[in-house]
Formats: sequence, structure tokens, C-alpha cells
Amino acid sequence: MRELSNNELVQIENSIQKKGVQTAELLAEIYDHYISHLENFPEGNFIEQLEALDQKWTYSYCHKLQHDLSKNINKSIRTLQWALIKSYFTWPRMVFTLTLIGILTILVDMLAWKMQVLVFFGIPLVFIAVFMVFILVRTRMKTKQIRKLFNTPYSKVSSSYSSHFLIHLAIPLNFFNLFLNLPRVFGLHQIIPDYLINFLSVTFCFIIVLHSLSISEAWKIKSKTAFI
Amino acid sequence: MSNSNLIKGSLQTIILKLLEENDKMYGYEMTQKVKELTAGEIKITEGALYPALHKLEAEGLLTTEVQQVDNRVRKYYSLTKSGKKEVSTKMAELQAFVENMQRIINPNINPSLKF
Repeated sequence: MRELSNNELVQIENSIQKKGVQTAELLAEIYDHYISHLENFPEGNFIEQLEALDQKWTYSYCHKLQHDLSKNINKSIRTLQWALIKSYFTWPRMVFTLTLIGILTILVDMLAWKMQVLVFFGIPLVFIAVFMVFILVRTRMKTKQIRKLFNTPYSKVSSSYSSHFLIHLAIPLNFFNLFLNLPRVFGLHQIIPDYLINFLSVTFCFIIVLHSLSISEAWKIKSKTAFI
Repeated sequence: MSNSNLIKGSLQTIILKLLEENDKMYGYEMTQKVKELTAGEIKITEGALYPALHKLEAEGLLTTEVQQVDNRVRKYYSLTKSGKKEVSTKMAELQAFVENMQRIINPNINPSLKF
């Protein structure tokens, strides 16, 4: 096994760049595979072995792998989040869930409509927005090395985990539009009785809090091993 | 014995067994280990290995850890708790399959004979 020269490393990087892969997780794996393989051959065989690798890691194969990896990452995040959500309905976490529902039910009777919106939707949504920024910054730091190697003007490298976490986190922002803005646009808020509004506020705030907590826990677990 | 369809069908079992024996491994290391164990008779291609690894990870049978190695990042795979349980199931399935194949190939063998 030998150490590759800088010129050889540049050739490897150029070769991988041509595949147009944008997922940091996959690029790291391909790059390591190329180097691990090429280190086993003498300098004279470098070009031949690099070409052999390129024939295995074709453009279409890399893109299929990237697509499947993205699907698998999405699946693993959903599975993990669902397992965490279920844990809130089993002992001892059930205590937290019941306490949360109790607090929300007390608050909904005490607060006026505008304060309800602020407390029940505003606070969780601000938490989500701040958390999204935090994930973006942290991912940029963790993928710095890979981005430096493979970013081109035509292809921006990013973490697939980060993209999927951001999509999952953004779901409650749609709740805001669906349950607060749309009723106002169509004047539905004047028709719906107060008790139903209170019930809906508690329900949706509960869902948003549970969603935010479970996704942040999932992130905590995945961040130990992924580029997030 | 380099039938790629046979290898493809047993790839998940091969990966799980390798990780049971070796604690943690990276992709290229697995291809080399299989080559070494089978004296080059079985070659796991990248085309089959990485999709299988990513699938097993998504199913929660494997976990990954990223390590810095000589100015690059290396992704190591290892078995999760459920992955460890799955190894014995997969091995039993493979064993039963091999036994049945032996009986088909050689019908004179006593059906109750264990290999």
C-alpha cells in the first residue's frame, strides 16, 4: 500500500466530480472507495485502475445510488421519528405527555385568541425555525471538507440527511397556513364556535410540540453518525 | 462458482456475517475481505454492495460511524442490536437452503440427514 501523490488525488477528485453527485454522504463513500483501491497499486497502474473504477462507478450508477440513498435516509428518519413519537405514549414518558395536555387545556381557557396564537403556534414555530437554522449551519460545518473537494459552479454538495430533516421540520409551517391563515381568508373563523377553536388549538399545538421534540431527538441520534 | 445471481441473493447474509465477525468495516474493506476469504472466487461488486449496505442501514440492521482517515472521511458500518439478531436468522435460512439444494442435486441423500 502506498500514499497517493497530490496530482493523483486531484485526478481522483476530477473523476468523481464528473459524476455530478451532490450528496455529501455518498461522495465521502465514493472518494474513500477510490483511494482505498488505488493505494494498493503501483504508480504505473494508476491511470488504468482509475479508468477501471470509473467504469464501475458510472454516471447512471452513481445517480441511481444517490436516489436510493435519499429514499433510504428519508425512510430511516421517518421510522426513527415514529418510534420516538410512540415512546411519548408509553411509560414513563406518558407523564410528560399528560402534563403537556393538562397545561395546554388550562392555558387555552385563560388566554385570549391572539395570545393563544402566539403561545400555541408562535413559540413552537420559532423553535422550529431556529432549529432549522442551527441544522443548516452545523451541516455546513460538517460537510466543509467534502464541499471544498467536490463543489462546482454546476453542482452544489449538500447532506441528504440535512435536506430530509429540514423537510420534516417544515411540516408544521404548513399547519400554520392551513389552520390559521386559510380560515381567516375564507371567513371560517367567524362560523366556528369558540369551544371548537379551543379544542383545535390544543390539538394542533400538541401535535406540533410532539413533532418538534421527536424530530429534534431523531436529529440528536443521527447527528452522531451523519453529516448533520 | 462466480454466479452473480447466487451472490446477489446472499449478499445481505454475507454483509451481516462479515460484520458479526469483524465488529466494524467500511465498504471497500468488505469487498477485499470476501475476495480474501474465497481466494478470489467471489467478488462483490460495488454495484451490489453499496445499495445493500444503504438498505440494511435504513432497515435499522446496520449503524454507521464516520471517522477521519488520512485527510478523508471514512464511513464504517457495524451491526445494531436488531442486526445481531438478524444474523442468526439469516444464517439459519441460508443453512436450510444449502441443505435443500444438496437434496435436490443429490436425491440419494437421506432427507433427514443434516449437513
